[in-house]
Amino acid sequence: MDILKKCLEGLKEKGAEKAEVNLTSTSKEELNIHSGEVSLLRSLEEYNLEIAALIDQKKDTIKINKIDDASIQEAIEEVIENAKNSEADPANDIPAEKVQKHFEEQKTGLDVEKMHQSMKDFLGEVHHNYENLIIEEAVLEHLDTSRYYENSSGVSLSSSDDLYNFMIIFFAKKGKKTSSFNHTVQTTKNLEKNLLELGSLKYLLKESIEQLDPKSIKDNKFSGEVIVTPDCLNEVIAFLLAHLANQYLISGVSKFKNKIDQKVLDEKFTLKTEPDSHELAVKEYFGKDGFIQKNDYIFQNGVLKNYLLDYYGALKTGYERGPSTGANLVIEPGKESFQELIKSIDRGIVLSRFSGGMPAPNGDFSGIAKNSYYIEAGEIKYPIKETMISGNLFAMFENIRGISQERINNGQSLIPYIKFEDVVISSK
Amino acid sequence: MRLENLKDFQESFTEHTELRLQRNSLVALALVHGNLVRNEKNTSSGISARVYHKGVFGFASSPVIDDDTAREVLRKSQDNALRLANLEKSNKGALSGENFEVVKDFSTKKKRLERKDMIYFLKSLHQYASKTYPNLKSTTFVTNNLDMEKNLVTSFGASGYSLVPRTVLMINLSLEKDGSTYDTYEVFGGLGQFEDHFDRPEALFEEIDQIYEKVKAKSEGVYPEAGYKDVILDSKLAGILAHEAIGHTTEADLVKSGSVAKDYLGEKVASELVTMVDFAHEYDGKVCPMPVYMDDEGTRPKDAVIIKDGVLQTFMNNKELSLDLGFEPTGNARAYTFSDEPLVRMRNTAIMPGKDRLDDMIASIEDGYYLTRPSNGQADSTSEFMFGVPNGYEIKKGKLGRAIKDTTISGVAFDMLKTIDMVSGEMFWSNAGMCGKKQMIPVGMGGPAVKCKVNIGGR
Repeated sequence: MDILKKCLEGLKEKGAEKAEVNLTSTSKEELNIHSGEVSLLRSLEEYNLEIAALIDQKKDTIKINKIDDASIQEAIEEVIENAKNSEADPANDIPAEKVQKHFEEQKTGLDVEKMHQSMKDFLGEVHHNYENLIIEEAVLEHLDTSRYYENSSGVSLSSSDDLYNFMIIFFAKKGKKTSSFNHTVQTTKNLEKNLLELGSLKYLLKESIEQLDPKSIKDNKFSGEVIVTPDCLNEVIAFLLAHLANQYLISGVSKFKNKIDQKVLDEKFTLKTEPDSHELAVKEYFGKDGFIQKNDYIFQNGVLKNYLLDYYGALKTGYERGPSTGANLVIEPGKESFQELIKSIDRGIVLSRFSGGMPAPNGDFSGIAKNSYYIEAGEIKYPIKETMISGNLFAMFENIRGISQERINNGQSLIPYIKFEDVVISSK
Repeated sequence: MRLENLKDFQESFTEHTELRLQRNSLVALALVHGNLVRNEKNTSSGISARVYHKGVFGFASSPVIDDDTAREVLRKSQDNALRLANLEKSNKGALSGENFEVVKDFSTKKKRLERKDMIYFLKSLHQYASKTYPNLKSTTFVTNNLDMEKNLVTSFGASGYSLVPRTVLMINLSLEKDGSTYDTYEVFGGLGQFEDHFDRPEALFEEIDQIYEKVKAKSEGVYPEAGYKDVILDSKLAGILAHEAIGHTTEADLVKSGSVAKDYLGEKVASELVTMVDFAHEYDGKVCPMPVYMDDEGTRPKDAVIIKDGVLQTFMNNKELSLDLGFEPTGNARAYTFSDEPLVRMRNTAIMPGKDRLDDMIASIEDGYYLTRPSNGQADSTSEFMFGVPNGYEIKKGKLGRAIKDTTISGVAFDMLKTIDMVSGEMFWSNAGMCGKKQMIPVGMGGPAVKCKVNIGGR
C-alpha cells in the first residue's frame, strides 16, 4: 500500500536501519440503546497508523490517527529522534522472511435499516418474553476493517473483512427488587440470525430474571465444586493465559516458564488458538509484529504446547513466537452434558460471572460469584447472593472434574462448561 | 484549528449541536526487569459533532481536521439524528443550555523533558531497586502520560478550551517465597505533566523501600479468614469505595434504567457520618485530580452532593437525564476521545473526612483487618461492589498483626454504608483511576479511612 511504502521510505531516508508499519482503517456505523430506547446513531471513520523505527537495536513506536503527508512526516521525524535515544536491546527486530499475502473475506456490507430492524425486533422479543428485564445499554455496530503490515525486509501482509458486534448490559427489576447486571459481547458475520439467538444471550437474560430472588447459602463457608459457564470462563482463561504472554515470561514471573511439552494442567484440558477458525466470526490473520498467525494447540491434553509470545517476546525469552498472541480461543468439548455435570455435584455452585481482583502471580484469587446458582445433591436449588469464592487458579486447572459436551460460540471463542473442585465458597 | 475557528461554525447550527475538536496524547514507557518493553507515543485527534433531534442523537467524527471536514461531520451527524428520529418516530422535547466560556490550561510551566530523560528516570529506579534488593524476582516501572486537549462549541453559545494532563507512575516489585510469587505496587503522580511530579529519581527511593517491605511482609503473611468482618479501609481505599460502591449506582443513566439507588432517593442509605460528593473541579480550595470546568455537552459543572449526612440527595447526570429525572444539570457528560460521545461519568468522587483518629479506629477492633490499598474494582446495579485488596494487616485485640496475602472485599453498598461507625480526619486523593464503561475515562477518587463491616475473601 502506498502509505506504508511512503512511511518505510521516509524512515529509511531519516536513518532507520529497520522499520515496520501497521495501518488499520475502519468504517463504523453504530446504533445505541440507552435505558431501553434506541437513542443514538454514530458514524465513524478511523485510522490507526503505527510506525516503528529501529536504529542500533534501539526502538521507538509512534501511533497516530492521520494518514496525510504532513502528519506522517512529523511522526517519522519524532520516531527517529526517540529511537536514537532509546535503549539498545537485541530483541528489537523485525521478521526477515520476505512474505507477501493478502487475506480477503467476503463482505456482508452495511445495512443501517436492517441494523435498526434487528434492534427493534430484539427489544420487542425481550419485552414480550422476558418480563422485568431492563436493557441498560446495547450497541450494535458494523465494522468494515482493512489492515496492512509492511516492514523494511519486504514483508507485506493485508486483510479486509467486515462483521457485526452486539454488546449488551442488562439486569432485571421488579418493584424494589433489582438483580445483578450482566453483560456479553457477541460477534457475527451477518444479521441473518435474530440477535437473541447469538451465543448464550437467551440463557443470560433468563438468568437475570431468576436472579431477582437470590438467597444466601445456608452453611456460610464450605469447600465445594464449581461449574464455570462459558461466558465466565472467557474471563478466567484470560488470567491463565497471561502467564504465557510477554509480560509474565519476560519478567520471569510466569508459572509456565520452561514448561513447553510438559504436562502442566489436567489431561482433560485441550485449548487451541484458532485465528483462522472456520467456526468463529472473528479472524486475526496476522499479528502487529508481521507474522502470519496459525491455528494450533496452546494446551493439548494438559500438555503445554505453545506460548503466546510476539516476536519481541520470543527473541527476549528464547522461546518460539506463538501461533498467535491469544486470538480466538477454542476449548475441546468433554463427554458429559451440562446437566450431567450438575448431577455429579454434592455441594457447589454454577459460576456465571466472576467479579474479583486480578489473581496473584501464584494463582490465588478471590471475588464475588455473580449471577450464580447453588447446587446441592445434584440439583440447582436457587440463585445466590453475596457469595464470595476463593481458590487457586492453577490448582483448579490441574484438577478438572468434568467438561461439558455443549459449547457456546460468541463469535470470538468456542467454550464449554468446566467443573472444578476445592473452591472455598462463603456467604454472609 | 483552535477554539476560535470552531466558533465560526456556531452560526450555522440549525439544531441542538455540539462541535468538538479534541487531541489525546499518551506517552507510555514500561521497564520490565530492566528491559524497555514499551517506548511509544499514541496521538489521536479529530473533530466530532453531535446533534439532538426530537429525543435522539446523531453523531459523526473524522480524524481529518479542516473546515470542509467540520462541515461534513456536522452534516453527517445531523443526517444521523434525522434518520434515527424518523426510524424511531420519536418526538421528545428540546433540551436547554447555557452561554458561557471557559479556558483552562494545566500544562506544565517547567521545561519539557525529552524521552531519553524519562527512560533514564525509570532505569535509575530499576537500578536502585535491583541493587538494594537483589532477592527481588522482578521489577516493573510503568509511566503513562496522558494529555487531553479539548475545544468545544455548542448551539447554546457555550465555548470551552481545556488541556488537562495526567501523569501516572506505577512501581511493582515481586518476590518469590516457597515457590510462590508475590507482588505489590504503588502508584504516584496525578494532575500535571511528568515534570510537575518527577524531578529526581532519588526522591522515590524511599517509596521503593516501602514497597519492598510490603511485598516481603505479604510473602510471609497469612490468608485472611473468609467471612463477614470488621475492617478499617485506609484512606487509600475510600476513593474506590466512593466510586465503585456508590458512585456508579448513582449515575443517572443507570438510575433511569432502574438501579437500586432510584428507590432510595431522599432516604437514609448510610450512617450519618457519611457525606459523599462528586466534585466538579475543586475541593477545599484546591484543584481536584480530574478537574472539569465545562462538560462535553457545554454544561457548567456543579458539585453533586450525592449523600449528605447519610441521606441520598441526588444523582450525577447530563442534559437529557437531568430533564428526565427532574434535577438540575450537574455537568457529568464526558467523552474520552474525539470520536466518543459524552456519557454520564464521575469526575472527582469522594467521601468527606470525619473526626476520628486512625489509631483509635484500629484500637476499637477486637478481631478484623486493616486494608491498606485497593487494586481493581467493580460496581453493580444492586449496589453490590467488590474491589481487590493487595495489601493489609490483621487486627487482633486492637493491635496490628501479621500482613495478609491478596484478597478481595465485597458488600452491598447501601447496607455496608450503614455499618460505618468511625471516619478519620484525613483526606487522600487517588490520582490514577481509570473508569471503564462504554469508554474509558480518567477519574479522581478520594476520602478518609473508614471503619465498617464487609465480606472478605480468603481461606
